[in-house]
Amino acid sequence: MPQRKGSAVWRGGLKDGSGTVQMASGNFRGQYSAESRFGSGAGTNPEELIGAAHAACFSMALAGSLEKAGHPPESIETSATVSIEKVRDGFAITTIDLDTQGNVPDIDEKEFLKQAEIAKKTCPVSQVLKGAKISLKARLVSPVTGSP
Amino acid sequence: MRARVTEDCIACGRCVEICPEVFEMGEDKAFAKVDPVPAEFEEAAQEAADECPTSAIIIEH
Repeated sequence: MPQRKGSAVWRGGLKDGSGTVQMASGNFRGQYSAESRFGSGAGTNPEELIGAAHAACFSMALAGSLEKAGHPPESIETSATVSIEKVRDGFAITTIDLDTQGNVPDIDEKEFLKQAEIAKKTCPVSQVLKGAKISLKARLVSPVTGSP
Repeated sequence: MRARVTEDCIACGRCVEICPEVFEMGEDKAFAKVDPVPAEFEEAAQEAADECPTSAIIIEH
């Protein structure tokens, strides 16, 4: 069973500190701070990293689901908007809004939406994020065709 | 309504994003630049207080 690793170092307190987050694969390393998390300061934050992970997982799951149903996609593009809110005991990631569009030949919209809902429910990252309300907006786009 | 920012502020800038008419970023923390809060900005100032991650904004009525 594969095990994946991410790591972070935070230096200083919440107010004056800052951190570095990175993937063990070496494909991403970024800075973060209170300003980049709660305001709009430069840097990354855990929520957008979760969003990237969820978008990646969902897209992959939808591709698999479509393929299994006999409709292999040309491409799936997904964004995941993750909201963190103050709650009574601190903070909570309350909602994740998935927005996806699929370029899938020979499929009707109803079937595409059905497969997208399946992927939303079954993708492993959705499973682990059950504490948040996950919404889905899905659109089918026409496959790109070559020049006449 | 009056608004003040305590030492718990972590200078994330969220309040300034929500209600720039009332809050401004200082050197190491935000502060309310108007006192009292004009009536038309009371709702936004309250929202900024509600969303402040460290509950550093005190609203007094």
